[in-house]
Amino acid sequence: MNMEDADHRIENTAAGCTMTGVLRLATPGAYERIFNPIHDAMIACKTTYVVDIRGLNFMNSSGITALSRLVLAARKLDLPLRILGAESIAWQRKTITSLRRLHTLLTVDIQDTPAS
Amino acid sequence: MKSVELRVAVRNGDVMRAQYLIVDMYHQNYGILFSNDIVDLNSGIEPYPQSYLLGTVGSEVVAACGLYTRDTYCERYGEVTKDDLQQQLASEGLEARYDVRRTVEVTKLVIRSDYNGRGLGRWLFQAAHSAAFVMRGDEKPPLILCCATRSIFAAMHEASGIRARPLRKFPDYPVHERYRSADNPMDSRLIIPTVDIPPAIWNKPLPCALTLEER
Amino acid sequence: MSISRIHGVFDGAAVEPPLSKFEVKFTPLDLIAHWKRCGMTADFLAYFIAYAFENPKAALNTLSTVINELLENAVKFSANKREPVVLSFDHFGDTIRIETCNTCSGAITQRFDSFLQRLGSEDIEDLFIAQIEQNAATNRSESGLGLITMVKDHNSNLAVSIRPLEVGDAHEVRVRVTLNANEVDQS
Repeated sequence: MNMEDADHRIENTAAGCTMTGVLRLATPGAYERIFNPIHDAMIACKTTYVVDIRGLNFMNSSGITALSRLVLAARKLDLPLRILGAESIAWQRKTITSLRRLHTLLTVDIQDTPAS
Repeated sequence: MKSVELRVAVRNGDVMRAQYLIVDMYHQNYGILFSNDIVDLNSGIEPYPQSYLLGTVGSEVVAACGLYTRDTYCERYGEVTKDDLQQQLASEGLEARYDVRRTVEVTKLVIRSDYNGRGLGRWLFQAAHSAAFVMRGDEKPPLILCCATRSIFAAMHEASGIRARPLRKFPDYPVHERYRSADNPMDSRLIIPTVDIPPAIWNKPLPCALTLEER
Repeated sequence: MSISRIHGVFDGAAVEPPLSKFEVKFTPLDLIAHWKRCGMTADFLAYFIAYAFENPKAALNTLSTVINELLENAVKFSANKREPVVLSFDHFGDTIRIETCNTCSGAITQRFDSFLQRLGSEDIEDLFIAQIEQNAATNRSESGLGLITMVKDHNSNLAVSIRPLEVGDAHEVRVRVTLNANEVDQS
């Protein structure tokens, strides 16, 4: 029986990505494969890159580490970054806002409405 | 004197016993995790083999070896193609005898550390190349693939008299960095059982037992 | 390091018995063998607890996050993956206590110990940022970020007891997180 279906989804566009579901991979390194396309897109991005996590219910600390590495990568690229979070998801409201200090061009938007 | 009993893991419990020894040792030694479907060699997550050999002393599991019976590692990650296999068969005039769609791969051989250095590894390795393990009740033997460092090929295959035909150099993946090196790269190789494996190994019966010398 | 240490307030016996409690014993190897079991377990236990809350959905998110973090750490850092890790939950009405107990190697315990000293003395927001910057270049799984967020974001009281075992260099490590039940309900 295979119950280990992927429980997350990451959609990439040129101007941003949307993460939904649950991300609890074992190590920060395990996030690299799924975050590499985001990193590549950020390098190519000419405007503000948007990371939408409003539909991401859970992320473990390895994921926070991986996400913060994306912020550091944007800082290195001097790229404006916007993270969209949901007010109704406790860890987002609390933890993600702290990432602001990593990058002056980062805005964290915690919104009332959950992702549709 | 202790005796190690070797059997094919058929029941659920034996499969789990074998998996857990492999997981325990791979995690401890290489930080590798396993999964049945979320597999990623770049981040240290390996696929579980589908079939296992289990070595026990009494009720304790001391050795295990896996067998990929579908989606072999060499084909999935090593860029080995059916054409590569066909070419090797053609060079031996064995196209009719084998089916390139039927491949297996011997993998993840582990010996519990307190049983190291007692000849258990090579004995288990040879049993893993027996018809009793790799044929799994089929009529035709499968083609056996193997992905390993060159030092392993020398210490195991060559030392056992098993010919392993180089197919391709295995790409560099981070998951292997703790055992691969520039001097000791990894290859994908092919073993054609009826011509490459000495009959004494190919016909080795299972289950079997090995008596260990007291240290 | 061969002496016992306590970080934070680690009150031995509770003043009153818990209203609700459970204890689960795991073999770390089970969770190493199938990593998703960490999240599965955290979700299940969080559901169990949050079910009785006024805002189960909000409570669930905080509880599952906290339990998952404690469980992942206990499993990853346990010295012997075949020796049980214990996760316990106690509900005292106003406070909720979640605790893991496992063994750790001497080297890991030492690094954990110095991390806890920083956690106890430095500004938590600064430490969070410092750990991210420091870990950016490495792939170390022991970033401590999980514990920092627990204190920083979930307003939890973190206490850790480290006790050397009689044999070998391993230590018994108990990590206790105490949460305010009302805050969890409104999180």
